[in-house]
Amino acid sequence: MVDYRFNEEQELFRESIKEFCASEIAPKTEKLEGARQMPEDVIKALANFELLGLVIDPEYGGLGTDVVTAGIAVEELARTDLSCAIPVLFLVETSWGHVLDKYGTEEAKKEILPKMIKGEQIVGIATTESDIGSDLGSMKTKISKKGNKYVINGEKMYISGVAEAVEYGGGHVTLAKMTPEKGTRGMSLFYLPLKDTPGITPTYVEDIGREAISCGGFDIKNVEIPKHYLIGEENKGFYIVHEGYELARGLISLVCAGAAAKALENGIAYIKERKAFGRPIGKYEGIQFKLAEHHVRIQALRDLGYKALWTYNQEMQGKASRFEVSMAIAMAKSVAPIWAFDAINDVMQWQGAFGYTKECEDQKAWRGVRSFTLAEGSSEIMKLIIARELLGKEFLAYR
Amino acid sequence: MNFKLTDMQKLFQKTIREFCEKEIKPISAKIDKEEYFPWDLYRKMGKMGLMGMTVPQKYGGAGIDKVSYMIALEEISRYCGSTGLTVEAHNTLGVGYIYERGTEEQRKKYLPKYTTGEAFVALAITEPNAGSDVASLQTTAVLEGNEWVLNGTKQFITSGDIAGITIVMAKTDKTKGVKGISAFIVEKDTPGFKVGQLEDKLGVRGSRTAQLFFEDCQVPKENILGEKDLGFIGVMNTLDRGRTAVGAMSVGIARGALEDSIEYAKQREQFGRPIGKFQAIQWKIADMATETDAARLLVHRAAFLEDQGLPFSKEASMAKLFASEMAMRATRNAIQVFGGYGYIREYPVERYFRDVKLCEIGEGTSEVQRIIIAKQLGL
Amino acid sequence: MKLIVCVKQVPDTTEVKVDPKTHTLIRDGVPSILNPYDHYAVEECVRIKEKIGEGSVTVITMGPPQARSALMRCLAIGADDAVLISDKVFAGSDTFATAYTLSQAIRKLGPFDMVFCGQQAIDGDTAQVGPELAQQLGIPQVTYVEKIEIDDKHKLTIHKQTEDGYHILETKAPILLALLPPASFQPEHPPMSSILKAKKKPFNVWDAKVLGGDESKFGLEGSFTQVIKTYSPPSRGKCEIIEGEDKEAAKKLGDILLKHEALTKR
Repeated sequence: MVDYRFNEEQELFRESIKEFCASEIAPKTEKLEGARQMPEDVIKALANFELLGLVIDPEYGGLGTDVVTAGIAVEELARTDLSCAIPVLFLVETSWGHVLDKYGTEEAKKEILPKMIKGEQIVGIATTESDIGSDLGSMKTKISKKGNKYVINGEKMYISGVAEAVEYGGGHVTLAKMTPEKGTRGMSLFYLPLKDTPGITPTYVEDIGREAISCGGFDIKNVEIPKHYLIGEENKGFYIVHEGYELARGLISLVCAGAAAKALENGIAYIKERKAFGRPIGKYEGIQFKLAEHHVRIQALRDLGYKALWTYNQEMQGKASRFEVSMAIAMAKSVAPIWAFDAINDVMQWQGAFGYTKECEDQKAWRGVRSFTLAEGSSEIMKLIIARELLGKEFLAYR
Repeated sequence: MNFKLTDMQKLFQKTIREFCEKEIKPISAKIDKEEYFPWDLYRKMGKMGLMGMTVPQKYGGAGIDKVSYMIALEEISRYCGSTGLTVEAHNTLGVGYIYERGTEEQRKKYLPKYTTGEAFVALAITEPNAGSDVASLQTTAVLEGNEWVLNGTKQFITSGDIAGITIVMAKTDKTKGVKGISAFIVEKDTPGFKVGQLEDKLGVRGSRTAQLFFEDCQVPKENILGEKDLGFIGVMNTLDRGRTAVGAMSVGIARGALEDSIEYAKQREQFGRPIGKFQAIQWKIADMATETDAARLLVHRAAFLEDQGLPFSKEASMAKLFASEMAMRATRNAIQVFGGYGYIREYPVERYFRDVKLCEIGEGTSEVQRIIIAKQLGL
Repeated sequence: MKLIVCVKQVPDTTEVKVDPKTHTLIRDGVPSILNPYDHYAVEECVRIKEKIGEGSVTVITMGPPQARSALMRCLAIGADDAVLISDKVFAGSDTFATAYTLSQAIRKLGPFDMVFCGQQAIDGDTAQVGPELAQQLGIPQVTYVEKIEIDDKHKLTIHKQTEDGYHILETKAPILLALLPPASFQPEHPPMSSILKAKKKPFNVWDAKVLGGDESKFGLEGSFTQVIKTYSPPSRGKCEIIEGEDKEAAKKLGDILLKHEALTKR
């Protein structure tokens, strides 16, 4: 049987986070455009409302809720911050906090997680490099053992939250090659603190959207980290990193659903009021049919997103297979940014020339959501995953 | 740039359109419903030069340019997809192939006879296990003395059962893949050549689609069409021409959908006004018109390039890909405009929809077109 | 100290519409919320308990099973246990029957010190249940309460809102207080940890049988008032909005008032 209801605490949580967003986040969204770094008071507000430790084990200061609850949080955050910057911060910390929680050493967890939960440190993710994105097996950054430590050399690029980690403290869950000849089977995952770390040189780029979270990279020159910063076993990094990516992808689906649903609501309000040729433009079928089509797709997207997170959760409890998770997540993420972008694009179209101005709220969502056909696994990669699961690994085109 | 048709092309278009209105339109529903094959119509078309359009007059053809040929195919297909396909296959794949690749003897021997509309020429490439992947053909031809001995099975051969001669692609060197394929002209009553069952198709039901069997079928040595082992190049070149032609067919069928939709939208009233007053209908029709025109331009461009003796393979694939897919959308939307009436046999729009699906598959699927285009882009 | 708060779940009237024909509320698709006045009462009650440093806060509502979520919210913002009084028998209760039913529940809970209510509910706006409940319980009451201070000896100093300021009253338990939040009031939004704690707190559901008391005083039967008809008064006169700069607008307003002789020129 299918039960589409949220449980009681999730319902209460949604009610509460809606109020939180309205009273504490919405007033802060105006200063986000052009900020290029998440303001500290926003991070603190998220922390005070206990959002940053939602899925983390209570032993380290978290609440140990399921990931569906994190989905509720990110959906509401996206409805509030249409630029998607705050949702990105939230989903990155949630996903990689979860990976640390599941695979990190006891020592690292005690050191990092409580600070992340209190908003005192950022936890990000760094896999991408200047020349590699989807093809992780070709990355150049290397990690090697040196006595009781690891030494890292290389660079990372197009990473979210670099400025935040450098300024406020924290670091990135980072992937590098340990046994290069083994390709993806020779990669290790570790925590790399960025603030005041000798050998780290950050650089920045300007994203076209979600302007309040920094995007950049860092050079890594002979950076030493203690052994306990290794996440999971050596050479198993490639597999572990995907667990984080899958959670992030599930959450992104709901960011897209949330931002697009809010844009559609804005659009509905607009087409009821705006008149052309003597009547509200909402009376024209050209507009109505688009609205109906987008509403259906965004609702379907929301269902796909929650189903993906629910499946992720089922797997954590040993009740779903890897196949089911990878499929559910990839299906949601493959369509989420595309459907959401189309809907927002039409909402802008309805608003005419105003829709093309920076005064229009929805253009923030248009720019923000656009990033997700690329971030955390491109739409193309999602399709490869779906096809791989349908046809079998032997049909992977690049093998 | 010049987007205007020449006076000759315009006149040609007008003549064909009048012919089709008079001769094809009244029987197109019957052709579809009864899988009726109008021999008489083809004889009339033969007299008009439509059965050897691009074949020079000295071989009995009409000797018109490729753009005019596309115009004719569009007009014919606008009224009947089945007739459009039969004419297209005969002209491009049949007599066109013989003219392009045949020796002077072959041209003289076959072309005058097969441009009259009395008999057809078919091209047999596809096999049960070889469609898009032509390299994997299993039909073989072995030279024994003065005869080529053919063995194998061909599938989905347009006009295969009514063809006086069939051009058969066979492997003459099994070790070489596409570089070991040759073409042969096989006459209808050659011993060892048999016609199998006709296919019961979704659309273009009035065109004939046959299975052909070759069992130790002996063909005179001189019946090889083009050079030995180099048949692939010839057939690919012919298929390029065919692609433009299928694009023209698609445009014709889409135009039917468009014209019928406009007419219906003006007459049909709902909520107190013609449905053509509703934007939802207007926009569908506007899209259909725009896309049909875009496809026609692609088709004419490819034909124009061919007329100029310039490379046209990529443009032909683009024309076919875009035209067939847009025609699928256009006919689907036409059914939507007609509502319940679009879904019943009484109106022709459902036929357009069924007929045009062929265009996404025949003479190279949409997927193959994309591969060809990507390859030509250097990928 | 044993403290009790009576609350009500209401449709969010900021999102509610009135059916133009029947003049009743269109509740379809309108979210239900904890009455904001009651929200303030619960927050204040919890604050008092924390100030005293001992005791408990019990929250009660009468309503359909869905009213559970309003009580859960109260538990999440700090109440210790909850009672949902729910039975078809209670349907159609007017303010008197509601007060009687609540008083039965409070008696059943045993000795108490203070009862908190919201001044009124945003759906009915009667402001009657609090005072009627005090009457049923036979205890004194203060309405329009904004602020309550309590000292070591449990003496209460109450700020009661009036049209032109506050009355400062001193009193002691047992007492019923009907609370009216200040304009600046923003409801607290409980974080997930509070919600998870709320799930573990005692939650009782009582029907008419469990509650006991005089059944003829419950529901429609026990109500002295009945709604015969709902209608919107016809709009009278017309409204004019004066636009422009403050000074200019004030002058226009003055002119209009003079013209209608609402003001006289000295």
